Amino acid sequence: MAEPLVEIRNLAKHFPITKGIVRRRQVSEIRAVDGIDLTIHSGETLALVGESGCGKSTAGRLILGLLPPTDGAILHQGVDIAAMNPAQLRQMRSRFQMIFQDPFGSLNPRMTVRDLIAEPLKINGHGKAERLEKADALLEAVGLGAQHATRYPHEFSGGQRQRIGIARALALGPDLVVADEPVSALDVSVQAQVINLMQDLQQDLGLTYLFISHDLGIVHHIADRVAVMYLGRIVEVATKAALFASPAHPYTRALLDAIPVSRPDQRRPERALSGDLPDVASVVGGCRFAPRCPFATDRCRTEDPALRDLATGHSVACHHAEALRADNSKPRI
Amino acid sequence: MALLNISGLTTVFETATGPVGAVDGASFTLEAGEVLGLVGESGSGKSVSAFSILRLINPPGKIIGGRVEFGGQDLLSLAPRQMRAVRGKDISMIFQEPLSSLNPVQTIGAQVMEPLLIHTSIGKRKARDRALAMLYRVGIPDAESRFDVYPHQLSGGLRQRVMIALALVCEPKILIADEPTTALDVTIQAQILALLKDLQSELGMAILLITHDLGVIAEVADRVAVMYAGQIVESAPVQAIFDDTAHPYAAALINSIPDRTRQARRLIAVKGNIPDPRHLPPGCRFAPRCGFAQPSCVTTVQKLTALDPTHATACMRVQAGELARPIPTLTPELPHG
Amino acid sequence: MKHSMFGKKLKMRLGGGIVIAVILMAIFAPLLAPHDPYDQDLMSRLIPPFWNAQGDWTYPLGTDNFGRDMLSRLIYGSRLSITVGVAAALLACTMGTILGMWAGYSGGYAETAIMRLADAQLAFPDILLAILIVAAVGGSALNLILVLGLSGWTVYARVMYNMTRSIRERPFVEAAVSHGARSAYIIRQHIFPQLIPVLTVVATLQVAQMILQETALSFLGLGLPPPTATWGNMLAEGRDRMWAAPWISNLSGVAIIILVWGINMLGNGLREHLDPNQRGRQ
Repeated sequence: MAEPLVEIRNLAKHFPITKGIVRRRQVSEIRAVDGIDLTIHSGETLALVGESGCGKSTAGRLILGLLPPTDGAILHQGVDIAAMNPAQLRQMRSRFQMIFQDPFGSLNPRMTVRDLIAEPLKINGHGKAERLEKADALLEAVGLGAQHATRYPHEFSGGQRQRIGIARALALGPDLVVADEPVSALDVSVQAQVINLMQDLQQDLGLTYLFISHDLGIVHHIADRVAVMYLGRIVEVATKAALFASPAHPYTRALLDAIPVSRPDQRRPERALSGDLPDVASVVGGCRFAPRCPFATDRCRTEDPALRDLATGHSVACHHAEALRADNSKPRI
Repeated sequence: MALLNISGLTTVFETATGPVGAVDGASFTLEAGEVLGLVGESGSGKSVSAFSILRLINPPGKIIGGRVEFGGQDLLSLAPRQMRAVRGKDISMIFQEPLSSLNPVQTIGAQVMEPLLIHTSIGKRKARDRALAMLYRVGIPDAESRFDVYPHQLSGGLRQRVMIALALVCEPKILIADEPTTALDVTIQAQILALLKDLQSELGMAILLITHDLGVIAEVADRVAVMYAGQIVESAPVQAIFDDTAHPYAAALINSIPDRTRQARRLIAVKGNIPDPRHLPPGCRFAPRCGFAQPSCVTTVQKLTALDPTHATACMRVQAGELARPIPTLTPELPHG
Repeated sequence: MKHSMFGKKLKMRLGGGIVIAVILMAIFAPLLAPHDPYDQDLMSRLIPPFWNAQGDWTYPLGTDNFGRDMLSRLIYGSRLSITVGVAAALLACTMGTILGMWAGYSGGYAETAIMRLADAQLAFPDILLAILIVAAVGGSALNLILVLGLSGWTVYARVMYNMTRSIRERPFVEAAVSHGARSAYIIRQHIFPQLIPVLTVVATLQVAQMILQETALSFLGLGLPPPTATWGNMLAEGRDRMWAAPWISNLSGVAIIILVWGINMLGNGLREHLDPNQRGRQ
């Protein structure tokens, strides 16, 4: 197994909710990320999946140092960025970069494409000639010709803008690229183009991806390992094959069941998960998934399960994972 | 006789540089009790078609051609007062984003009551009872205590249910659903789709489901019409769309979805981008991106033609028998294509 | 596409035309004015404008109480109105924008301090502030500019603060942070350029405000002392003779109205041009 590129230990991010005008006191907090452990191995694509409010986007930003954590350690090749001051953090930035979700909002509309791609280099003190040359090379690498370099973002389609965003993310030569829903805002016929590009670049440049997404179809295609988040916690981590074939956590199972079928002849009787996505601010004791879990017992409602190993490379946070796994007779696609 | 018969619907938007076509001669039918899926990506004209049916197109948009036959009348020729009597009562609509589609300063109970008060002569008391029953029917827990809450106090999934209740409270014959689950998480989406199917069979209504998600289509649709750049390129029963695809764009759309049954090394991508509506090729609008295009495709105007009573395509090569059905899968494109 | 009766192009052209005409008038005043504006000729006092029976083409728009030519005084008066209006707006703009951006981007104590200061000042009547300052340091063009500028910064601060806060949340700003950019760079490179359109519009409309305020201050005797030819002074001078010699006040009043109207039209046209989604009252 490749050595760990990023190690996250007990990472937490709490957003306080305050009341009062003159003297603000904290009445409660939103625990967007509430103690997660995760390892990202060099060269792999680790997918972080979950629904709204699970904390995956927040986790991605914490890993990039875009948000200061409330607790925990984020080790990039052994160096803890959670303990750094802003100046030190700035030095580290070239090692990890982000591809943003919004192809329209993530590019400054008043800058040319060349300037946009070269900007990270400019910020980090590279000379003008060098960075313009690099920008043009990156533009070619993502499949847009250098003739586009002097155009503005609004002249491009969503898929092309995402390519520009990818080129920009690669400008500083990072090891880790966090992709936050990189194709969710794109049309279906264009998503495949961008995913293929990301895979090619990973192979050519030896990149490591943290792929944040809610789209399990694409995750199934691109990921090596998958981590599932629910209400600020990681509930299951496994290789892609293991997760899709024999998911251990009830939420993972529900998530996979909820994916619409690929073909009409695959329709099955309904097994929809009941209940709404709960409010992140209203977490009570015990397992977070217990209120919606069809298998919850009293133990689940009082004791919070920790993420533990079920098999090699497969960990789950559920008290009854073994028992449920034995019952896993239905084929899962 | 079809419940809803749309023929030649054409809607344009006036811009500073002249009219831009959004829907160009779309024709399709909706039978009673069926779910018709209208599938397309951005710029396909699917949402504009739906809005055009209910004449919810405002300037700079304008419906400039076609007929929308419903109950023996052409909706496009009705007076505004008559059209208002149709909306919410015979044909209802639900939208993609419930937060902006519900009135933020009116309680959800009041909003669900409103169509009843407008379209029927039952009193307030009875309307309240029916509205409450509808809220329970769409699966809102504790509907009684939630009757007087405001939309922003509910989650996205519950708001979408409120919108469904609002649309169905007068038991319309047709429900137009414009991307009803796109803004929702996948577990909530599954719930909403199940609810729609349930209500549909209970009320016996037809649903025109607009979406870009073929998975949603595969789950709930009976028939499908695929749109590209303002035109309908294929229409068929849902199984036939998947098994017997008769248009290269429809095939491309189906193929670009990652298949969870196998591991492909690369996804099958379609080269190029959706065309700019101001610069459309004179012939087939998909030709520039089509792997099967011949030179004549770009210049010859395409027409939606029936291959058999239930299946129609706009691809002239398929019509001429030059291209076999189902359209074969192209080999994955080369890098940087 | 529907256009209101005054389309934005018309607004910009008409308004811009008026503004340019007045600016040219101010620049070329010595060439345009038939007389010296301060030249008193007591034999020619209170002559009405040329359209009146007793009018005289030597003094096309009449003379005032001291026999000074109205037309010349109006032409020279435009210099002051424009200068004070533009300079005061620039001062307010610079101060307000810097403070607003700072408050919006940094948050924390800077935000609280600056915005509460702006609130406090907004609650304080401008005229009172002007009276206090002018009474203390006297009336001169520079003092007028300072007074008006210092009372006008809060508008910019508010607008720039709100806009900065919303731009700060946009993904491309987050992207710049992820590349290691410092706050000063981000404000300069990413935030300020987005503010320029709004800034231009607010500044243009504020020039009109400043001119009106200068007029008010001059009218109250707090502006430049007589015999300086300013439109506000001329309004004041004509006040006592509204029935006998109405043209002294009326002409300067009309001049002010035309200029302010032109500036407002230009400003509104600019606003519609730069942000076509936002029609309607400011």
